[in-house]
Amino acid sequence: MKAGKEQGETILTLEDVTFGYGDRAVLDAVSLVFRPGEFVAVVGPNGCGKSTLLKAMAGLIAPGRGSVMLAGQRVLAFPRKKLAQRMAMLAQSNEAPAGMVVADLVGMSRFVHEGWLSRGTPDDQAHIDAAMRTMAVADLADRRVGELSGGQLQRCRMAMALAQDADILLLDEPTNHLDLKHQYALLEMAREQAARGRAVIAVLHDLTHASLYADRVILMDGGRVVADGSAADVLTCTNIADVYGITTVARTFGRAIVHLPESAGE
Amino acid sequence: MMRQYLTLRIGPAIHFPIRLRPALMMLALIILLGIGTLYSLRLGSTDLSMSDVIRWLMSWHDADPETSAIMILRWPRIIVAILAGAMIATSGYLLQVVARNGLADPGLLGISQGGMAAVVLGVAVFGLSPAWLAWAGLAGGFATAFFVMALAYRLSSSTGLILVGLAVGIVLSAAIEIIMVRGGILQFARWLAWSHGSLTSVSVGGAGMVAIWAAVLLPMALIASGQMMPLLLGHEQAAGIGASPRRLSLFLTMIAAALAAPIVAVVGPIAFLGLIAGHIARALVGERPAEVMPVTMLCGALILLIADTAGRTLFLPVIVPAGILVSIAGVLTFLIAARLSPSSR
Repeated sequence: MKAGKEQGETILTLEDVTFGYGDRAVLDAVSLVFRPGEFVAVVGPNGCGKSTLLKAMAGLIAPGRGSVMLAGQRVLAFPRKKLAQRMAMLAQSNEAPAGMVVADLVGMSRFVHEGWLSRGTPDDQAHIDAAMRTMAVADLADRRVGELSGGQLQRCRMAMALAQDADILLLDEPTNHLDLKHQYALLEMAREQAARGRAVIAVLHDLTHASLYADRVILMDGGRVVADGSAADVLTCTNIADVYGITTVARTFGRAIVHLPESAGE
Repeated sequence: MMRQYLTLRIGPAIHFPIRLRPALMMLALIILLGIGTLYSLRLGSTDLSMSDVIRWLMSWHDADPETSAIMILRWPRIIVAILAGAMIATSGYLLQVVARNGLADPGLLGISQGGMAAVVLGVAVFGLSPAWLAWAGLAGGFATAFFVMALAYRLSSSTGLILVGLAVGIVLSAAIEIIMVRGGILQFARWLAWSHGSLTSVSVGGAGMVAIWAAVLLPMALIASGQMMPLLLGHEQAAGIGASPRRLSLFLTMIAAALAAPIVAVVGPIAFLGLIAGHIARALVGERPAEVMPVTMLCGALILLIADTAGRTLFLPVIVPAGILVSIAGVLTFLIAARLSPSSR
């Protein structure tokens, strides 16, 4: 798809992004660069600004200072539909009505490619089918949202984001509600999307997941970026103690870094 | 569940799938509406035979003068019942989608009261002629819709919109009653009849005016329904898939206000219809707005036509305001629709 792109090319840039509600800064002078083909995990304690960061990237909130640039143009200057063709977002909360059919939910993200008189084309259908197969929800197509389990719904929503066919995937806690098998399947899928040239940026809570699958880990605290680099460099016991306020011992299994509370050690 | 659909395909640019189930549902409702209209033309204080009705329909001008004299009283009222039903129902469904709350309707969001307040103020204080009442109602409805949206804008939750609408509606209702109480008992009695939604005083002129409004606004609502689906997911997700939820919500609220206000001026507020028609339509065809919208229109038209016809024929010589019967007819239809709903819910 975007295989020809050379390493080092940036797709999304944040410069000095600051955002707050009243006096409280949720994002504080955040500057980051994202490249195509990268799976980036954003980690940090509750309320550290991870979700707000994704919203700022998606142009859903306007930063008080600084800017988010997509391919050299301010995200907020894009028409909504044009932006959504480049960027798909899996939000944390679901508000789909219980009576909606799964096929419609997944198909809705094709809205970005729709014209007034052109919808449900064979191309749309191909993307929807592929996304539903990838997330293993093809057999749920005729079910209603209200009938699904939390995990099934989460996979359907992920299929919706995939069917949007965007260069950038912003995933806010994508492994929520998923069982062990589907958590790993989702992370594999995210890495595969990155391997195809997409930029995948995911808020994750599980540091082991981040270390095992992400090419790069961004650690946030209090609206600031504390560390940004490989999992081995970022997820150190010192950083974890600073940010989460808990003393841990780290074990490694291949790529995976597991942080255990000190008391659980011996 | 039926998944079959036909695809309208013209060249590479036009590709438009049409699902069969909603299409058949619409056809059935149109046939029911046709039959309802014929019966409604036939029934009244003087019952006609069906052949008289059909002969009158076939030969508009050189019809039997006796039949024509009766028809001139009936047809404007029937036209208004059908169009007002469709318009109020559409208004309610639009607001339900915008507020993402199944309880929303023009009465709950204060839009009806805004229209009523403007009409009452126009009559009692400024002595407006009837021709201007619809415009006054429209201005009042628009102003209220703007006011409610502006107040609710900062409350990002959809419940905020309902709460603000409710508060504004209550204040306006109080204002209306103050004006009416000051106007004397006779005016108060007339207002009471109007405030229940009655089609008794509908004239040919009133029917014409409602028809013009319907011809402009109903197609707009139908076209807009094709773009409404993302709103069902909430503003954030809607924006994420390329919709402009705030702009779209404002536009849809304005259409909803414009649909409700002239009806309030001509017929009076018809409570419950805006609430129930959308629910019935969704029980019949599912959640896709492009399919729910036309079915909502047909359901609203059918309910108000049946309610008005029953109100003016069943309890003769007493004529029951349609607004009261809508509540009864609405509940019955709702129960039937819930039984017919496409899957277990």
